[in-house]
Amino acid sequence: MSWEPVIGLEIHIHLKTRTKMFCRCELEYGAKENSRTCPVCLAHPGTLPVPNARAIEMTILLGHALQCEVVEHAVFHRKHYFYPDLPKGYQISQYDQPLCVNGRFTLADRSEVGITRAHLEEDAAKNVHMGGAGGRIAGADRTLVDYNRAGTPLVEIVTEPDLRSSEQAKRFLQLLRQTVVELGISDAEMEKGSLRFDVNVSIRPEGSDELRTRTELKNMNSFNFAAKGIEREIKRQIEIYEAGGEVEQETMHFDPGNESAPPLRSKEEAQDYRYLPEPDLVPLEPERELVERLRGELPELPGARIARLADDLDPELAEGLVTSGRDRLFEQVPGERRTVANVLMNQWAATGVDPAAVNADELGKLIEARDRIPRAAFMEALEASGEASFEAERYLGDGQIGDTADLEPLVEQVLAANPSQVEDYRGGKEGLLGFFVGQVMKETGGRANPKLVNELLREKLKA
Amino acid sequence: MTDTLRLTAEEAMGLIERGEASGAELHRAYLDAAAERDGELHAYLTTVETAEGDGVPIALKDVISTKGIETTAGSKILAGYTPVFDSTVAARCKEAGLPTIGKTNMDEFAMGSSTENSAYGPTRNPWDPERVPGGSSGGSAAAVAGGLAPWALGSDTGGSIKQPAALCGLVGLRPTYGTVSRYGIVAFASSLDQVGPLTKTVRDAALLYRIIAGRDPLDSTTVDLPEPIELPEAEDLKGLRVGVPKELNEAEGIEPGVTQAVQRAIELCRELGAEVGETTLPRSVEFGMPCYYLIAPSEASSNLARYDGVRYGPRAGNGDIREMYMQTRDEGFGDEPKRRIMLGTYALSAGYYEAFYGQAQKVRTVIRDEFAAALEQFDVLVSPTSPTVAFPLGAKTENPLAMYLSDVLAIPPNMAGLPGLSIPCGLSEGLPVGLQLIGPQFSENLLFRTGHALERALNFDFVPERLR
Repeated sequence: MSWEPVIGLEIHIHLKTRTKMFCRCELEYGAKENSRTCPVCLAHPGTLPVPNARAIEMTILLGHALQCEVVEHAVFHRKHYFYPDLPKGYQISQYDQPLCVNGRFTLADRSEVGITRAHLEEDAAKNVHMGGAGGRIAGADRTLVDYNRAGTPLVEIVTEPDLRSSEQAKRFLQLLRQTVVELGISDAEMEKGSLRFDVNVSIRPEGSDELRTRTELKNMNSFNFAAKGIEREIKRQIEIYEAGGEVEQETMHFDPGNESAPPLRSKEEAQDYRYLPEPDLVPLEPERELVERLRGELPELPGARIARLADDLDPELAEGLVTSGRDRLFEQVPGERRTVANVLMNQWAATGVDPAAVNADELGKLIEARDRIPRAAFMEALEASGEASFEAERYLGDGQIGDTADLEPLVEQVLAANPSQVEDYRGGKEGLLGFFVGQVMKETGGRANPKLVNELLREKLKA
Repeated sequence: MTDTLRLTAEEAMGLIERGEASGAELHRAYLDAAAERDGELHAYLTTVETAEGDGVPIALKDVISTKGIETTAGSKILAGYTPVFDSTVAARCKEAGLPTIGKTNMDEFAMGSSTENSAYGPTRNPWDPERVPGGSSGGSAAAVAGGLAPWALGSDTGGSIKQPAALCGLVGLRPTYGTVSRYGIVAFASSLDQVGPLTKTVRDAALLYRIIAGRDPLDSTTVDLPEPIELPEAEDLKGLRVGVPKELNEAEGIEPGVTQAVQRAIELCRELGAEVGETTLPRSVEFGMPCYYLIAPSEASSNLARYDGVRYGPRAGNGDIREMYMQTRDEGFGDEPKRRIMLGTYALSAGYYEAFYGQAQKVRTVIRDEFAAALEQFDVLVSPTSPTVAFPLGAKTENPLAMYLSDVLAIPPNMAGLPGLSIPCGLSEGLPVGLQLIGPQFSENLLFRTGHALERALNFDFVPERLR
């Protein structure tokens, strides 16, 4: 039987507001532990939440980007559980009346992913378990809590189970990440925890539209590991079904260091969060004027730009340019489109130069002349492309390579590639010099300064 | 020597204005009175030795966070907890120059009607120390009635200002929900909690309400008052339409002496020029209490989740985190909070929410509509505040339901978010009887005018007979 994966995502992103969601503590990643706290985010008795208006605006903006309906009446709920990272004993979140619903997100290959909802909530504090095994609370000697993160505005985006492969899930995440970064609402950096996501995976016979029991993969720490984890889970489920078994609903904390993801929580331990409409807050009813104004502020989104670039390029190349944030540079650099795109995605990408710092015309000239410039010189030029004084002309020269720094590596490369000839030369067969010169000339397309090549070779072979 | 039993806050203000006494001197006089009589009454949990401000001193219920002054809400789980911030009402009192005399005793987390649920022992009624002062703001009521404070702030969720005011012969205002900030008020049931004054006169209540009311950016559920608060002057009730809701006046368990005193007050309304007529609130009284006992415990179970021993308050247990939570909460909470946490947790559980909390919220809308209809016909509704006068200590501690019924008349308007003013309207068996005046949202000025005219005509002596 042929199986079809059914994948849905839940993505959490930290909003880049100046202050927390319900109090005025300033957000600062990496600040000294518990230095960004106040009676409200520490849940002192009698304190009350006051919503951050900017966070609401950012969520509406995101709702527009995800083509969601921004509702007229949303409600904050309390979600209860006891844990030291949750100072109030509940998290203020949204439940059955979220701010943004019914959206969709188009990927580079024009496939559409339904967005069930995008809602606003607050993040928990950070627990640090000391001693014991593996940083888990079980068996730890003691737990320290850093409340700096408590109350950070967090948007949760839930997709429909519309994704059909790990590759598609990865591309969705990359494009979504680029979208929120460009909207200026989040850094969305996985290392800092400002982008986190969980994956729900099930499989079904190809062609069927049933939804089978799914497993949840939590705490993914990179898009590539997520793709691997999904692959592994699909394979596991196929093996279970083909052996005549049933997949159990469970949550797995994915750990890339382990061969298989260990089950952590089964449905028997399911939490009852006792949702309660937050009585300390009035319903969230954004002014229609604000909602429409924010719609007007939406820039051209990555998805739309991919579609536009895909007129001239392979969709994959277009997607790569956009999700790596290089497409605006691409559009400014003159030259043959595919060549420019390939250079930007390969050699230029390796330099780590900030696209915004580049003089696009000069870079265009350089790329156009790339066949006439030695590789090393070309790379050097690309690395310099972010400097204010960068001029392609300097690297083009008269076509002859007459610079020791350019030729030396090539000479060394040729010597390293021909050890027996080197040995013979040093053993007295000095006539081999011509052979080496020829090799260097071949590498440079005949453009190396012969005198300089001779000098360099003699010197190197002496050693 | 100041007669702290007799002096009203307004008179105290006069003394200060005329330079006949300073705020600090008055503060000292009330502390002296407390030294003399609080051994018996136990109205205060904490007293403050230094006067901050040169206004009329005030007593604050221990549910009100006060920077640098221990605030326990009558619970052991907050023993030793000293807020690092002032609640908005405490800050407004400070800005108005009112020195704090002390923090008053209360039923733990404001859950109770007799102040016997305090973890720090009961407060006694200045009219009869063998009887309760009512609750949960019993400490504030006893402090004012016993001459240990010229005025006080309490909090009212399901009658906790109105009922102790009634039982101690005082004026108590439960304001319109949303007019007084809850920021820094140890939360019991957020959709019902409201801070308000306990005073000797209606004018004192208006003066104090004027200080504390108004929108607070720190409490999203507050609003601006539609009109400024006026000190009532009028001594008649000409043109006022007074409605007597049948169910609130004929409920089971209302003592005959209470009915008599209330009837006389209603008669007096007529004599002062009001039109009096009967009206009806069929479902509000029948369902008000049951719904209150779903909504308030549900919200309480949530609000009390933060007392976990992690960040403040005592911590118990040496085992893992779960054991620490359980032991801390088991030792820290008294029976009544535990009872309500369990009730509320159950009512919010998956599969029960719609039947309990959800249904109660719907009934709340019905109650709101019923009151709105009655208040279209009438300007003010009247009833007894409490079905009984002050009862003996221990009389209802073994029977929570009997205790809950003490608020059966005070709860329905609270469920509708309406303001209620209780004023003393006479004695029954030598103990004060309270008259409850209910008006539409934001009708505090009207309630003050009505209460003031009745107060003048009733001429009730607020000093307990045994202390005169």
